[in-house]
Parts: sequence; structure tokens; C-alpha cells
Amino acid sequence: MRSRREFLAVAVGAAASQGFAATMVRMRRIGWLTAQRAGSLTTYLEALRQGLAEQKIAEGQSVEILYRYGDDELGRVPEMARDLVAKGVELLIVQGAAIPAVLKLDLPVPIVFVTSADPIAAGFAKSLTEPIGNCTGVTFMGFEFLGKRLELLREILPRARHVTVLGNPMHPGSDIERASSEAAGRRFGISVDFIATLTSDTLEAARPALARIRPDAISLLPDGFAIAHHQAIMAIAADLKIPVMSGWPVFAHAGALCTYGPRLTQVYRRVAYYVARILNGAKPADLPIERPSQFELILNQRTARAFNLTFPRAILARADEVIE
Amino acid sequence: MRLSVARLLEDFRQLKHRLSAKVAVAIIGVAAVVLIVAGSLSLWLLVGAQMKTIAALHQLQAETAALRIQHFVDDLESHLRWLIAPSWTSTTEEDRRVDALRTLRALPPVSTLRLLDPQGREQLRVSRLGPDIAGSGTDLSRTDAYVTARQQGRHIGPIYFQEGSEPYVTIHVGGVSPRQGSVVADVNLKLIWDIVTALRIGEAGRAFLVDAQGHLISHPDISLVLRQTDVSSLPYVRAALEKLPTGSGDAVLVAGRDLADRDILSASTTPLALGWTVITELPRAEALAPVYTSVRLWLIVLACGLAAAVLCGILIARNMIRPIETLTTGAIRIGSGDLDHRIAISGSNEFAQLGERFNEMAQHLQAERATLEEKVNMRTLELARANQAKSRFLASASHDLRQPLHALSLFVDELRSQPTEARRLRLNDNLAEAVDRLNGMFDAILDTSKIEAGAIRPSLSHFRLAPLLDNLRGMFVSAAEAKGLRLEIDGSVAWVESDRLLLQRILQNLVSNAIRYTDAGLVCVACTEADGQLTIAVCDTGPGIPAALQSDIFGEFFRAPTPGQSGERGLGLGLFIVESFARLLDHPLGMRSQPGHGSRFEIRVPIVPEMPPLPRN
Repeated sequence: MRSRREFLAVAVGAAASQGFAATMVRMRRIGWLTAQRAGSLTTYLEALRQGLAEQKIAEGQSVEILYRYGDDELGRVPEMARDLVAKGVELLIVQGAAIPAVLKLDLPVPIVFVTSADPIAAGFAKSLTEPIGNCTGVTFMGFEFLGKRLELLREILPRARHVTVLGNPMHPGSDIERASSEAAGRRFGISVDFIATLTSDTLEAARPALARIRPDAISLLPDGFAIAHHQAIMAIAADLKIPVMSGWPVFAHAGALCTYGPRLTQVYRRVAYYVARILNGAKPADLPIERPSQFELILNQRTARAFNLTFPRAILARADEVIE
Repeated sequence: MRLSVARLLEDFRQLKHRLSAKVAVAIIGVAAVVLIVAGSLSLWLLVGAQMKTIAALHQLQAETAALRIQHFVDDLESHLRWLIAPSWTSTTEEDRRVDALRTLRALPPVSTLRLLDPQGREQLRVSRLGPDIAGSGTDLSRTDAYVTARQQGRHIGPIYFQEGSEPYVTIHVGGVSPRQGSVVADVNLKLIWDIVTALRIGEAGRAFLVDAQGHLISHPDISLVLRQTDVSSLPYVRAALEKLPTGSGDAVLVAGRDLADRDILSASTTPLALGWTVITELPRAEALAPVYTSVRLWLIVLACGLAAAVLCGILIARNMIRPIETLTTGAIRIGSGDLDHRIAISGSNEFAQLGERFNEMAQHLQAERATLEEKVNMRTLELARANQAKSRFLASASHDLRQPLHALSLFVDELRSQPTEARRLRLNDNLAEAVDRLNGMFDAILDTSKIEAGAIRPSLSHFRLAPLLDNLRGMFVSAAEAKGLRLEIDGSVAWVESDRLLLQRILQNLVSNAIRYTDAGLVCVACTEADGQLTIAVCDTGPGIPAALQSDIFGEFFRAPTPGQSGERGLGLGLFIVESFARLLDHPLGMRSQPGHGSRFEIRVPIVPEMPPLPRN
């Protein structure tokens, strides 16, 4: 009774002083944690916010999001994670390479991850319905596309025999991705070699190696580093006149020959669902890990013309978007 | 007095209590019963109708959902059918591949498409994630799915969960013509989610899709689907699955608890052609909100009705009881002697009439009492006068009686002194006279007391009047002579019917009176016959009786205030005796008198034939 009266008093006072009802609701805090730079994720954060709005979560009104970026320094992740927990976040959205580091900390808050890796192979879950520990999330199923992309590449470039894969070796599940790429390559009679690109320096270092190898195409592992440095990567590929294919649509828009992968914005929107459910009291263990359900093939006709290529009918039939 | 008032009040209160309470309870009871019965009945009908509407509405929503899902599948199927529409040989491998890829792109839920040649061998496989394979030649012609698809055009396989998570179904569409191929599509049913989520079942309701085994195919909470939640253990899901396909008719809502343990009402469709069932669930509180509103409204109306009934009951009871109270108070006041009290009840109903009767009764009682009082007063006055007369009589009678006694004692003294012979003879006469007078006086007193005691019974006989008149003459001739009066008594030959002795006493008294009050002139007894009656008249030339006294003269102990010159006064019983005997004998008695002109008394006796009939033996 007493507390209700106090609440009413506070509520009335708050309404009078602030002028809107939202202040009566306790602001809930969630954390956003990534090892990447802020710029590499702007589009996806936008999708996430859109998703939160769809779930009736208004950032800044009912929920406050604390953003932490590791700026490509993975080592900073644990410290930032602890800091967020100390700030009283109720859950952490962890993206990409930061996930294993955060999971290792065994934090007392639920974790929603966004990974391109296979969560089972990466050790985040026993199966899609059984996440390990206090976490759940979405996967882009990045590795599964490697084979499919080689298949598409071979159809577009029937002469292709040699593909170089650029990727971050620290990315969880990258070894599986490499293995998957090599297996697919063998199936199509394509040799696959791998260049580790961990930082901008190593990326520049990859340039002479690529110039020497002169692969028929460059493929990119589905990690955050590639996204973060897509312009640099595309610049190198353009200089060396090597066609690029990737899983992320940004590359197609930046001049890659084609991209095939999940609709990432949709996946990030889906993260909001987990946030809403967990904030409403659901346990992460009750929320199965979801895989993307929509995929898109984006072709860049301009790049194809530059390489004097014509997309076969079968490829055009599959395409969701053709950039002229 | 106070005690009785207290009791009255108590009676009152009890009456009021009992009657008004009974009346009020009766009215309220009847009203309540009518209200409750009628209200319950209408509520029952209303709620029944509402429940039917609600059930029908949810059934409709479920059917709509089912229709959408059916449409989704039909749409899928028509795309697939388009793919195999041309005959197998009329298309190139390249065309088929492009068509398949286009179809794949057009149908996001389809993850893999397989094209089979008319012989049922797999010739092409295109996939979103897996490798595309051409001409694998895998023979599917012997599978049930292929056979069914070939015969019925379509086969929908069981639900399976890829990687233990996403629900998939394999749809096999076969060409109708043997020259057509067939197509097998693996469909990710997770994408039905959009359809299921878009379904609006009330505010907080939802719809989901289960297969024939009760596996969740689609649910707004996709997590439940991905975890392959088995909902077949939920009673309402089981009820939906067991529903007979023909069991249409009235929509029925099944109550239950959903996975979130909410109290829900559920509707379900009969299984779709795919063997899937749409089940809707809506929180019971929301579904029944209109019913609750009706019930609440009904309760309010009932409460108002009951309150009105209570008010009416009390008012009517009070209105009915008030006149009764007035009547009771009035009756008590009238009963306790307040005859002036009048009961005032307005209106013209039975109570007012009853009050009027009470008032009339009181009025009558009042009048009756007034008469009674008057009578009592008169009687009391009479009694007082009689008493007075008696006292007077006693005083005068003792005085009158004393006179002859005194004379007797003087005569007796004289006899003792040895008087002379002559003297003695005279004394003897005087003694006899005195004794006669005493006798007469006692006879009169005796007669009077006999009359008063009602002891005289007349014994009627037929006799000749003449001897009686002779006796009369003999009795009074000397007395008349002594006063110097002429006594004339007519003779009569008539026979009359009367009591001889009583008639003689009557005439004796009349003549005696006449002689007593007449100082000079004539006293006569005359007989005249008329109409079979003999009128015997006794006349005198006395002073007459003033008119004012004429009504009193026959009273007991009445004596005329102006006695005759003789000063001899009677006992005042003579005429009383006359009148009494005449009444006994039923002989009319008449009197005419005028002061200064004498008086005339007459009595009429019936004349009978001369000779009495001799007894004949």
C-alpha cells in the first residue's frame, strides 16, 4: 500500500516534471559488444534497431543500449564485457569474433550472439536447439555457402581452376570454413589456397602474395574483418584484376562479381526477437538458435563486363538482384 | 391503564410485524423469483447465443487460417505444376534447369527441387545451399510418394526436422500425362511462420498448425517449432486431432491450458487436405469477455430489480398495513368506550368501507346508549316517585288505620264502663262499623299486594248481574244516606261473563269512591247494553277531577288532593285496584270528568245469553 502510494507519488511527480509517461518505466540496459570497428556494422545495427522497434522496444525510452567496439583489437573484448556487466546490462549482444572470448568469461548475463560460424562446430551449442550455457543467437551459416559459392563461380567462370580465400584465422570456425572450401574445391577441380588476413597490415601484406599467385578468383571467409575492410579488399582485387565473390551484399555493391548469402539485415532484425524474449523473462536455453531463411544472389553486371564475362542464363535465373 | 396501553402497542407491533413482513416477503419473493427465473432464462439464452457466436467466430478464424495455409500450399503446388507442365521431351535440359532455378527463386520456402523424368528417375537437382546435381539418375519410381503423386497428382510427405530444428516437408507433384515428368520439393515450413504470425486471433490469441501426429508445424513462437515441441499431449490439441472430418455442424470451443499455462479456449479446423490441422487458442478471459459483460449487466439489472422489488414490497406492505393499523387503533378506542372516535381512512376501498362500518357501529352504539340512559333516568325517576308514594302511603295508611283502631279502643273502653242497653247497642253498631272499615282497608291493601305480586287469577263465569247490583245497593245504601246522597242503582237482567268477585270489587270501589268524594247530589250506577256489551257506569255529582290529574288517578296510592267534606280519605288504592282488575279481566275501563260537573267511570263487560248452558251428560 505504502509502496503503491510512493509509486503513485513518484509517477505523478515524474509525469509532471518530465511530461511523458515513458520515464515511469525503468530504463533497461542491454549491451552491444563487438571486436570490430563501428563503421563496419552501421547497416546491421540499423536493422537491429528496426527489429527492436518491431518488437515494441524503443531504444532510449524503454531500453538503453550500451555500445562497445573493440576496433579490431580482440584483446579488449573481455574487459569491455566485464565493464558492461558492471554497468548493469541485462543481456549482451555479442557479434562475430568477440563471441568465444565473451563466452569464456562465463558472465552472469544472458548472451545473444550473431555469428557467421556454425555454432555447433564453434562450441556454442550442442545442437541448434541446445545452446550451451547462458547463450543463444543467430547464425549466418557462413561455411555452408562456401561450397555453393564455388559452384556458382565455376558456372560463371568455367575456366576457373584456382581460388584464393582470404579470411581471419581467429574467426571462430574458420578452420571448418577452410576445410569446407577445400572440399568443395576438390569437387569442382579447383585448388583453394588460404591467406590469413587478421589486420589491415596483413591485408596489405596479402597484396604481393595475390599478385604472385594470380588466382582466378578471390573468395572471402564470412568474418567481420572482411566486411570491415571490404573497400580495401576490393581495391586490391581491382588493382590486380581478380574477380571477387563473397557472402556479403556490400561486396557486390563495391564491385565484387557476385555475392551469395543470407539476407543479413533480416538476420540482424531477428536478433531483436531474442532481445525481446529474454527481456520478457525467457531463458536463452529455451530459444533455439536460428538459421537464416532468406538468401540472396547479387550479380554485378558492370564487373562482369569489365572482366568480359557474360552471366549464363541459369545464373541470371537465380539472381535476386543484378547491379547494372 | 398503562399496562393495557403497553399491551396494545405490543399487539400492534406484532401485527404490523407479522402481516407487513409477510406481505413484504411475499411481494419481494414473487418479484425475486420472477426476476431470477426470467433473468436466468434470458441470460442462459443470451449466453448460449453469445457462446455460439464466439465459437463460430473462432471457428471461422481457424478456417480462415487453414484456408491461407491451404492457399500457400496450393500456390506452391501450382508453381511446381507449371514447372512440369511441358512434356519432358519437348524441353531441353538447359530449359528445365533455368525453369527450376526460377521456380526455386520464386518460392523462398523451397530449399531443394528435384526434377524426375517420366520414368521416375532424378534428372536434376537444384538447391539453395547444397550442390546442384544433374542427371544422377536415382530411381524414385518405386517410392510410395512417386506412385501416389503419379496417381493423384500430389503427395505430401511427413514432417521432418532438418538438423533437428527446422520443420520440412517434401512435396511430390506428378504430371498427369505419362509424357510429363514430376517434381519433388523440399519445403522449409519455417516460412509459413509469416502466415501464422499474421493471423489475428482476438487480442492475445494465436493460431498454430500441427500435423496429424501433433507435431508443431508452425507457431507464432517459432522457438517452439524449432525445438520440435510435441503439443499432442495438450488435451485440446488431442481433441482437435481426434475430431472426425465429418463432425462439422456447430462450432465447439475446447477449454484447456496452453504451453504457457494460460487458461484458453481453442477452436480447430478439420484437417486440411494436407493432413494438417489449424488450432486457435484465445485466452478464456478475452473470449468470454462479452459473456462476462452480459453476466455483469444481468447482475446489475437483477440487483436493481431486487432493490425495486424490496422497495415496492415494503411500500405496498406499509400501505396495506396502515389502514389495518388505523382500523385496529380505532376499534380499540371504540371498544374501550370512546364512542366519539371516528376512523378516517381515505379512498373507497374495502378498508375504507370497513372503517365506515366501524363508524356506523360506533354511532349506533352511541345512540343506543343515549336512549338507554334516558330510560334508566326515567325508570329511576319513576322508582323514586313510587318509593315516595309508598312512603307517603305508609305514613297515611298507618294514620288511617290508626283511626278505626283508636275508635275501637274507645268503644271497648265504653263497653267496660257498663253502658246502658241502648248505648250498648249503638256501641255494637259502631264497633261493627269500625271493624268493617278496618276490613275494607286491609282488603284493599291485600288486593293491591296481590295485584303487585301477580297472584290474582281471574276465574271467568257466566252470571246474572242483578244480584251483584243488589249487593252493591245493600252495601252502600246506608253510607249514602249517612251523607245525604241519593243512591240510584239500575236493575239489569243481563247475564255477563266475568269474575264475579273481581267485578264486584271494581264496582264496589267505584261506588265507594263516588260516595266518598261526593258531598251532595246523586251517585248512580247505570247499565246500558250496546253491541253485546254491557256498559256499567258509576256517576256522581262530585267535584270532578281536573284534567291534569286524570292520568294519575289510576296510579297506586293516588289520592285526590281535594277530599270530600267528610274528610274521610281512602288508602288511595281504589282506582289502582279498579284499573288493575279491569286489565286482568280485559274489561275496557273509561272515565269522563270535569271539575264541577262530577265524574263518570264506566266499565264494559261482555253480555252472554241469559241462561248458562246446562252441562249435558
